[in-house]
Amino acid sequence: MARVTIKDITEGGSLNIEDVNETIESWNDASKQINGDNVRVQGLDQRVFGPVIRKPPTAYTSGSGAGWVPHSPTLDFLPVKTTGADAVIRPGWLPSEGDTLIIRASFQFYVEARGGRPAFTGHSSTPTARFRLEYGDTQNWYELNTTERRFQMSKMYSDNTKGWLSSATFSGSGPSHPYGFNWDNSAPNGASGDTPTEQTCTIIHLVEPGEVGKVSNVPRFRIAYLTANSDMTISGVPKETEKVYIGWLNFNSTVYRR
Amino acid sequence: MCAWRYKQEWFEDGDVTRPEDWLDNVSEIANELNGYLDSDNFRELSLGMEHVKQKAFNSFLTYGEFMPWDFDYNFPGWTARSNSESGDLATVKGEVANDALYIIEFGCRWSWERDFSSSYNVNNEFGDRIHRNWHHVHTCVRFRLVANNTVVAESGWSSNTMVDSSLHLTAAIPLPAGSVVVRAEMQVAVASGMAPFTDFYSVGHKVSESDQVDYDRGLTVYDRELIVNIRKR
Repeated sequence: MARVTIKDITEGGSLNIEDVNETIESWNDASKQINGDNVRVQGLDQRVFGPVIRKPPTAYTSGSGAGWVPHSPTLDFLPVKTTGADAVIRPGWLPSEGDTLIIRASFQFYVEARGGRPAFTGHSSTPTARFRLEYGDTQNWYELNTTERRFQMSKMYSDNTKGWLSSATFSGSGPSHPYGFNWDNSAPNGASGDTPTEQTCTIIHLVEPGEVGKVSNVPRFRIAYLTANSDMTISGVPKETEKVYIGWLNFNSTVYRR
Repeated sequence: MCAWRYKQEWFEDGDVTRPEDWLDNVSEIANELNGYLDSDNFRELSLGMEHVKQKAFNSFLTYGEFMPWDFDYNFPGWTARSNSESGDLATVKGEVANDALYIIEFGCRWSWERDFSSSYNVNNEFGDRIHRNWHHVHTCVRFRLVANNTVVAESGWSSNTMVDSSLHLTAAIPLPAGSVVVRAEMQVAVASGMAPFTDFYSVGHKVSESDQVDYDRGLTVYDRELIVNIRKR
């Protein structure tokens, strides 16, 4: 702790110039070395500090104005787009200064597809929709571990004849079950089947400085998607009809400085 | 220095000043600087983050694992453990010097077992169980967050009608200084399709004695990430 020492000067005594100079030097030294020990316990409040959280970059959002943005089938992860632009953010993150970075992505989606139970309908397998966070520069992108999220209905509930209990596939009568990743305007038995079922996906990730080492500069971050049949095909029945529609997206970051 | 507000002696023109009086005033300042400075001594926003020790306001406990975690589906209650695994689903522990607000987030994805076979399963491709009386039973999973033995967030049930699905939970709770344990827990149960999401049975339950189906279902959790933000002041 920087400490000021004041020489004792008493009434009637002679004023020694060294005493005066030592006191002044003590003030000078202490004023350059003030640290936490000079502050009383719990003596500081928020008023004296600058921002604890760095100003985040502009969040990528889409909502009712942008509506659902279609994304075509792909076997490789591709960037999620808002309205034309890739959803990419570049936080002001300086890990060398002890910053901690958290990336947050939240959006809704549904899959336009006809799944099917192979043994009965001859359809391909049910569609899968997968999302993950990636980091990179403007050229290359790399997966961030622990961020992948997958969604897939069971085959029973994605059959385009309204589920296994449909009378079309089961002897005897039964109720229609038009729910799940089921999208078919020409379903049998009078059921419309036009029931895209919106899902919500949220991914939050704390980025460790060591996991983004493939990029030399402050990395960019994006959301990537993959959608295909669950057997990882995008051809055959139901052909290239699968699409994942993504909307109501918010993609942002928070940098905690201290 | 703000201590001048509290100076002990006041001098005016023409006074004969005793050195002790002068020193009383100087000591008032020196004592404040020697360990009793406070916000009144600093201008508003005058201390930048470069002056503040790292993790002074926010620190983090984290757990992240992308490797699969197989759930032992014979256990009916809430659990963070699995007999199939040596580690927890997701747990963080720490010693924290101050009371703080804990902001907790947990995310993961899971896959239900796909290659189940049984003479009572009409078609293995369904990825589901059919009761012999031809009503469905769904196997379901739900998750919760527990901070120092207090449940702070709980999801709804998610059934195996979604063979792949994902989850995010968030919660906040103030906790005192000391040891802290935050963990994610999960529970698996079966529900009758005749009364979906109302009647739940423990795993292994039989609807009737004639029912020879046990409802065990495998479940594997992936990409688990637990983030605990300790917001101190």
